[in-house]
Amino acid sequence: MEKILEVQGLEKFYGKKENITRAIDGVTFQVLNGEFIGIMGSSGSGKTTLLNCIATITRPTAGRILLKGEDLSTYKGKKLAEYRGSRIGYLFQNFELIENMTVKENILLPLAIHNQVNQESKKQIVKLAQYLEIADLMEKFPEELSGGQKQRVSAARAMVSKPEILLADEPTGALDSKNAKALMKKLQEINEKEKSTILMVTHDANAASYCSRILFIQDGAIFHELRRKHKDESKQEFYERIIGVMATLGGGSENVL
Amino acid sequence: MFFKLVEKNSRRMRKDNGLLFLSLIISIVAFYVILSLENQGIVQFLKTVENDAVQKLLRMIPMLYVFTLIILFFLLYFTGKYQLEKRSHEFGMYFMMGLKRSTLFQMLIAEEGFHSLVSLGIGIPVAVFLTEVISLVTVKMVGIGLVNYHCSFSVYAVFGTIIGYVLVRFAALLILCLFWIRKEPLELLRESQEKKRHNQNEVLGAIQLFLGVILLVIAFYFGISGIAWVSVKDMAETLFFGSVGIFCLFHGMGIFFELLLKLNPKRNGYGIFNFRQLQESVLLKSNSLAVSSMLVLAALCCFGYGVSVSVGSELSNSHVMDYTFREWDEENLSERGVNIKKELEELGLRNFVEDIFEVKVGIIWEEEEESQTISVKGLTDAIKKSAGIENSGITMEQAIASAKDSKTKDILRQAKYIEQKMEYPHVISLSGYNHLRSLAGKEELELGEGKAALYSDPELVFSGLDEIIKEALQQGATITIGNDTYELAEEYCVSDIVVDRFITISYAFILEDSVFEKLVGENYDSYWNMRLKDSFVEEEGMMQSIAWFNDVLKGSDLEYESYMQRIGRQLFYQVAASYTTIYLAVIFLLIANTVIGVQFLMGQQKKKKNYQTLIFLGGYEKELCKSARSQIGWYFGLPVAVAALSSIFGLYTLFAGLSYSSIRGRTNELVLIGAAVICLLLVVEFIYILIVMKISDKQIHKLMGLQREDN
Repeated sequence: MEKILEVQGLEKFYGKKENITRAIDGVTFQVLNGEFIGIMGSSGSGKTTLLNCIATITRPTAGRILLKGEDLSTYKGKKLAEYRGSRIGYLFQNFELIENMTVKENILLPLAIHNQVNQESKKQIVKLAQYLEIADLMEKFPEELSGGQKQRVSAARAMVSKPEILLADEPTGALDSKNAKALMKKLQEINEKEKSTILMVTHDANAASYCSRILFIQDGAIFHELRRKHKDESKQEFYERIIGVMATLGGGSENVL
Repeated sequence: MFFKLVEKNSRRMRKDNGLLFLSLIISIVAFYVILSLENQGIVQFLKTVENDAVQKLLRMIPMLYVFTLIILFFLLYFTGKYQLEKRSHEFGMYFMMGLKRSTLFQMLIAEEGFHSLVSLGIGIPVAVFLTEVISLVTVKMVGIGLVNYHCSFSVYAVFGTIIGYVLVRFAALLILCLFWIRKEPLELLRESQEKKRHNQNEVLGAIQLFLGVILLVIAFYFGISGIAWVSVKDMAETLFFGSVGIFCLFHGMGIFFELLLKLNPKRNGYGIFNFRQLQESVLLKSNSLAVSSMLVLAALCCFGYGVSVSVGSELSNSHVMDYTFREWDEENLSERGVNIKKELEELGLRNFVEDIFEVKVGIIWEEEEESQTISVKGLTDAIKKSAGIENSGITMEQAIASAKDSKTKDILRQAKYIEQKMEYPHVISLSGYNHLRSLAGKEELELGEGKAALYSDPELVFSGLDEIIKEALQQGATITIGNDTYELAEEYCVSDIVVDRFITISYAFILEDSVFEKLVGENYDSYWNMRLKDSFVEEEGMMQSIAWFNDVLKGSDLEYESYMQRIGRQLFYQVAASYTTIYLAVIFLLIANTVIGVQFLMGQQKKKKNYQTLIFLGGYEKELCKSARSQIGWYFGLPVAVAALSSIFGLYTLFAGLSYSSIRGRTNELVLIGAAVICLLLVVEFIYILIVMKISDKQIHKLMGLQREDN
């Protein structure tokens, strides 16, 4: 299978000399096309920093990130903006919808700011809305929606530009268990049916059990990797293995620590 | 530690709100300038010639000052509110850490004190320097001379400015604190989150928009038709309709954006984002935008009116004579003027006199003998005809009733006034009047036995009627005195017969000297006009030579008026109009712009999440700045456009109701000057917008640099 994303020797340090914090300390991994990969770790482990480096929101101290073989550090100005707007999709923990825009306007926003709204994209929105069960909400404003609906709108926005990879930062973090489950099912379906590549950061073992592979990160470095054994391994079995790893390695949640 | 924190917070506030800080310094300068008016050279000079009027103006200044302090309070209250909203999370954290409410209150008071101290420390020296420059420049421009010039520094103005400014600042803070400090920590911590957008009821919005337009049109009509000036009630109604109209307009404006979004199917670019941001801002801040728009309107009207009155007054100024003497010696009627000349000789002033001549003014008293019966029917019929009333057989009352429009009605009412006034008309001897004309470089008037000329004092010329009278005279008008009919000269004579205001005659007839003598005899008033030698005036300067002459004349019994009084009045009008209106305009404009600008910038800071989302979605700096600039353009443009449009009507209204003699009847010319001034102000407005745009660019640049925290 084709490699879509390569992270090579990534480092991100904050501070200087004695006060240096190594948020990411030499992370290397690859993501294959169509993979649903999860990154798990406790608070402060560096998982969001890693996601932000991939999203080009923050610049790494050292190392390279390649998307389809292209080094992201070479992207500047318009090309960088285009990468953020079209080649990746970003799903936020707190939805980050613009409160004074309707659902439809919010979903169209990434296309609008890159002047890509056309008849085809309008069709794409209708399809996405129906798929994510938000078709009836298109003229509503975010304040009129529930948390689950907001996150599905946010997902539609992240996918409207048909990104090469979808980055999700704790997407279930602000949802109750019912809505979290519904969202994860949708993401899994998208991954399986559309062959979309998803990279998700989470510390929720339940959400992580929908992934095909999980990287465990601690103190800025990968210390373990877990793969779904075979296609038919149930979600429950995989979940138990995740919990097992977390318990064995003595972390994964603040409560355990 | 406490003071360090206070100093640090105060510095941060100045840095974050440079625009507000600058505006406050300009307000301090304006306050000092207006409060130190009494000490300024030009006012010191005016006190010597127009003391009563100057005293009235000076009594008005404190009221003006208090009024502008109230407006400043509005600015401080609104900006203070935004600042507290912005810092609400910080206050919540202080409370969480165990800070007492009283300590927080003390901290805010100390910050305010420190802030006031810094702004006064910069503002007062700048104001003192600027006032001195203004004083020197105006004195030099008027040509009063610098011999008796005093420094314009005023301790009263310094203390007045400090007390007023500090009082208003602390009043605004206290009111805000009463509300803010009572809040619970959780409330404060939540407060910092974005306010939710208000959904607008579309039907209600459309009604408000429609009602706003209708009310404004009614107010404009009341203003320009003159209805507003008929009574206090009418003025109150006009202001009420205008203000409510502007409020309704801004409340309903959200619908306008909704409509624009619906009409514009183009979905690419930042258009939707811009309009939604604007719609929210206008909906949430419609009241302060409406008030700001009214302040800009007031500023434009004040500036337009003040400047055009000053410029307009100067245009009408003509200088022919320097002095007029009056003599009341009923015993020696034939020796009029002898005394004046003798007295001038004795005072040693004769050598400075170029020319002295008599203008005779008398009244024809209707006597029982038929020979003195006066009829101006020929004149009033001609006026009626020129005003479009064809049937000359009808009475003036009937003509007024049949007039189609209110302007013709007004003109005919004046014509009726002529009819009444002319029962005992004033008459002027031709020789004296012609002497005046030759001094002014005009051709002499030639009458003869059967002719007369119609005269009006230039200050009493009624707007609109003068054109009708001129037309009537050109078509031929007559008057009858006894059995003699006098044909009126084609020219309408409107030159002053005295230097200032010894006599002001609304309507009179100029008669050949022989006819004057026949009709008036010896019962006339004698006015002796005098002109100073050009060489003396050139050597000393106009004001200085008259001032010296006045000093010498003080010791005599002569009754006189000088050109200084006339120029003094003119100057007083200019000073009163320009200082007060320009002062008000500066304050209004400054406060309105600062409210709009600060409101936008703080709103942008509060809504930084929206911009951050755009950055995440691939928006890049240049485009984001362009988007914010477009929002600023609209945000300023809306209240300013409403104000600019209304100001044209406002100017017409002001000229319709508040014009004095020398500018009366020149409304169109003055409105043009006013409109030019308004255009100039709009350039100032544009500069202000550019400053806000620059600050916004900086804010966005800062946002671009922000990195998300690792969680």
